[in-house]
Amino acid sequence: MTDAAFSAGLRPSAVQGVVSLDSAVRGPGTVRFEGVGKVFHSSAGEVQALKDISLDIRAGEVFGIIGRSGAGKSSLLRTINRLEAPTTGRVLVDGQDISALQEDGLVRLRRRIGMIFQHFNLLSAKTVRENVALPLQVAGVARADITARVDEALKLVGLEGKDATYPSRLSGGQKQRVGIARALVSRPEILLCDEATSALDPETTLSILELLRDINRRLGLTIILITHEMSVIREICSRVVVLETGEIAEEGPVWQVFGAPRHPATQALLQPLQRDLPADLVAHLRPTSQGPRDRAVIDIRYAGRAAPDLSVLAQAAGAGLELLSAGVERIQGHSVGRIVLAAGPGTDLAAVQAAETTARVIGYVSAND
Amino acid sequence: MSPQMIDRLWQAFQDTLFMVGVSAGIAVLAGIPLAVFLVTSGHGGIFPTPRLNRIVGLAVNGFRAVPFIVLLVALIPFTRLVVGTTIGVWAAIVPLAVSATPFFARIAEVSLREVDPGLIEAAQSIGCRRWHIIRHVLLPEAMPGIIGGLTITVVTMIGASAMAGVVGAGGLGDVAMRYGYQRFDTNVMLVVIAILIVMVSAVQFTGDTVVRRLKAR
Repeated sequence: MTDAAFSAGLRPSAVQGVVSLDSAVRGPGTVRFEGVGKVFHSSAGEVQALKDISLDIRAGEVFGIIGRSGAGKSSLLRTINRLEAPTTGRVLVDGQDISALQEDGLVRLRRRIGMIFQHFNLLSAKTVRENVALPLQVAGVARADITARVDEALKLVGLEGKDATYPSRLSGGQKQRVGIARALVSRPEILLCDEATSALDPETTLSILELLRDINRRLGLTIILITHEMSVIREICSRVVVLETGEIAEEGPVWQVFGAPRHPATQALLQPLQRDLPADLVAHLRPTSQGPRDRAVIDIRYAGRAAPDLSVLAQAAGAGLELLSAGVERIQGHSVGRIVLAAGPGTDLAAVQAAETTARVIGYVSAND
Repeated sequence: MSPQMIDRLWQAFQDTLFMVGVSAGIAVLAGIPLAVFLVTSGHGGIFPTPRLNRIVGLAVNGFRAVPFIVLLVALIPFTRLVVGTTIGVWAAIVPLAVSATPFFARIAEVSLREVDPGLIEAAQSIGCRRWHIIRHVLLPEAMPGIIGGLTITVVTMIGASAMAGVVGAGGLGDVAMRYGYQRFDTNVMLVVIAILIVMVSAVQFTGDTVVRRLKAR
């Protein structure tokens, strides 16, 4: 008998216990927004936080919602467990319209949806164990079951042995792990992440994202996260929606939105991640050719397909093709890249463009630059 | 100092302790629910009843506005109704409790309001009902501030209890007035002051220690 089979037979080990029980009782974990709008009334007048959002989130995917501050991402996320009620439209969780739910129904819904927060929101007067146990305690789960399930959850997030500690003694990453354990202990089918890594340093951010990815894979739950950092989306999301002033700016698979951002809001959010033209080159770039010896700067961007064949480009350009800047990333198995070339005088630009249709001349530099 | 005077002081000390203790107990039992009501029934609270909230708030302010010595007299009919007498220790406990409850409730209210709204949101997200939120979030998280407020309340009540002699309730303040002031017995006055300083210090020390323990975790 293998170790795994042994422990599964005797008493399900932490992770196996979660998986086996969950797959049996879990619903699909889908979310649908139908024309969701939200208006806030403030002293300054009405603020339209969300406008006509329609969106489908599939079971088991990691879905990202990104936008600048005030874009409405937080409101949108909170309509899923009705911490905020939409003013118009409907939100359906597993096909069920949640707008009509009274307190009882709402409490049941929220027990199927875990949530973690930017500032962790742990109760300072309770130990780690008591914090993680609270969802089960208020649901009336038997004491012995609570102990076992809290142990499972703490093991899942790698915090065994910390159960008697108070949250104030933990690091930011550990606090978020407690938050994740608390969110998962009810065995939810959906996990909402509200800027869950924004208060963490880059290294801890990666470890928390790694944990979320692992949870998504092992437990198969749907993860919906909001962030203002594109790097977080790139790290773990499969699909993303970009919000701008309460509206959907664009939506699609992450590699596509990253590779070919269409909306200015997306481009702005991508700015910090982009391999930009070197600053000195930009300083020398002129919109038009000012002499026969000027070189054209060619910008090629591609996403989700094979990289352009450089030898074909070189052949089309003739002599003097120089690589100025280049970057290639792999996002979900798709290549996303940008290549900037300087073509020597007398290059046949039309031939280059024929060989590589996305090639764009973005300006000219003089031969000496 | 005569043995009779020592007996008298000992009796007065016990009376003060009893009056303050019982009324502090009532202030806690009535003041905390009152504070929770004031916090949760307001606009945007978890049990929103804004109109009732305003009415209760006004009533609390009304009691807070009346000086204790006036309240002591004004409440005499009410005192008779509740404890059946208008003199003695129990007759002092009624106005003391009536005065301390709104005072303590306002202080506890401040601590409850300072509980991070994010914690309430988190509690809702894990499926807490509203009374779970009061029990597991609001009260435990505000507890250091509530204990600190209770300390202030008890110290204020020790001071107020000195006026209980008006209704013949005795206590340290009464002894100091009758022997120290009216009979010019400076020693009695000084001893009473010393006892009061020790009592207040003990209360303050206990309160501070509990708050420090709660905050240390």
